[in-house]
Amino acid sequence: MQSPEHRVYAPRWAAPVALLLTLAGIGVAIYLTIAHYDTHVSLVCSAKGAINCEKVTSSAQSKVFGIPVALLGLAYFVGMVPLHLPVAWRSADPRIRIGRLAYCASGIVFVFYLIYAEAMIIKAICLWCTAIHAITLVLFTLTVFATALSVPASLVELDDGDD
Amino acid sequence: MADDSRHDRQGRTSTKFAAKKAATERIAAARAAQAKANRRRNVMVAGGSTLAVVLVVGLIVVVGLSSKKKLSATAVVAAPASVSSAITSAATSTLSATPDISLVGGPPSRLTGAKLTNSAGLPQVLYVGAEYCPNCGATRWPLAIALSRFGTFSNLKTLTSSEASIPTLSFRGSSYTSTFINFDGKEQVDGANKPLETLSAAEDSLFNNFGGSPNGSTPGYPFIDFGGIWKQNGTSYNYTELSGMTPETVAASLSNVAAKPGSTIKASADVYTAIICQMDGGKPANVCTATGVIAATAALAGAK
Repeated sequence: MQSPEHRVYAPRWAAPVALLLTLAGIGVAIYLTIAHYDTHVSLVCSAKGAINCEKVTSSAQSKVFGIPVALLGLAYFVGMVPLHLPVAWRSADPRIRIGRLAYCASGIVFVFYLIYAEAMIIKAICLWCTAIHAITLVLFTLTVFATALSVPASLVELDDGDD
Repeated sequence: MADDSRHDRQGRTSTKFAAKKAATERIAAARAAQAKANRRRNVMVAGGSTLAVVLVVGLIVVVGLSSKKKLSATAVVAAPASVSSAITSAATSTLSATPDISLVGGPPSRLTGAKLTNSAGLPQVLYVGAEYCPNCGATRWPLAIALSRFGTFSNLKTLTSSEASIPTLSFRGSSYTSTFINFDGKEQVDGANKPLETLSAAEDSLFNNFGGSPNGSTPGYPFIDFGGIWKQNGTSYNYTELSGMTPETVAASLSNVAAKPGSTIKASADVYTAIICQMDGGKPANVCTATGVIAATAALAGAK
């Protein structure tokens, strides 16, 4: 348990919404990972024209250092879970706060690369991958805003005192 | 006098207390104002960073979509003798080797309904692909080897796919003769994505109905209909195995089934062979009872 003076008042919606988004990310990433390893599973997606999941998931860019991007995505979202637990949002430990921001920012940088690969190299869009990118983007936005709106307990008590 | 002195002391005490209280309130107000300003600054930083992220994403997408990929048709030439003979040789010489079926991804799926035959009643293999398409490039090698076990190709071509530069064959303008099956290979567009070979109404219907993934998405290249009993959507192995090679070096690798890409192409060819054996009732026997084909038939038994 944290003592009251060592906690932060984060917006109430931060932890549950972030966890929900993280779980959605895990779900989509599991689907993409299964489709990558199990050849009997095909992605429900177009395979012709600009929207072409197969073209994207079978491209040379679908692996980074030999590791499937789908698996990296899954690991990323699993690693995100402890950072978005309510106890982590309440913590005044700057390592957790900054670590969470840095983790989300690293996801965004990777999303930049993946969107670049889709739009500029592969010339096709994978809708399931786009869902992952969107979730990462929303999680980043949520994290930076919730962190900005968080207030240390000492200031809240000061406000209470004034009232 | 004594009363005056007491009043004075009390008055000074209350003035001191009031001053202290006022100072505390001023400090608290200043801290609260500072906290509010910090919060406002943090929110602005958050908004700015989010906006920057959205702008970068938008920029990449807009630039990517506006810069249309210019596909230019690469040279399509008659297959060199070394390539044609390597395919014919691989068709027979690798039959007895046991394939590593684990190398085959995206195995064919079963079809139900009408059998696909040509006008003479022979079971038909319909292939629909595109010359720009790297997945088609990977697929043609094992398909050509499998078909060469049942008949003879003439006028095969070689090229490099305009997308991803995969060395491959082309079925455009080729002919195939067999007493067991019929092969209908259509390259629908060339390397520049320009129309090349037209599908008949029946072929178009098959392509549109079954050319998508098992989950019913829109059709894509390549599509193979094996006699109406099996279909292949997409490639059976990752085309990057052929990156940096030429049609000649791929052809040379076909005899070495112990290493990629020869082993992968052989395993895929055995799977296609096993399917064609199911189409034509197991003829010719020397092909359909070969070690590699029996192993592939067993692997197919588990396919959906």
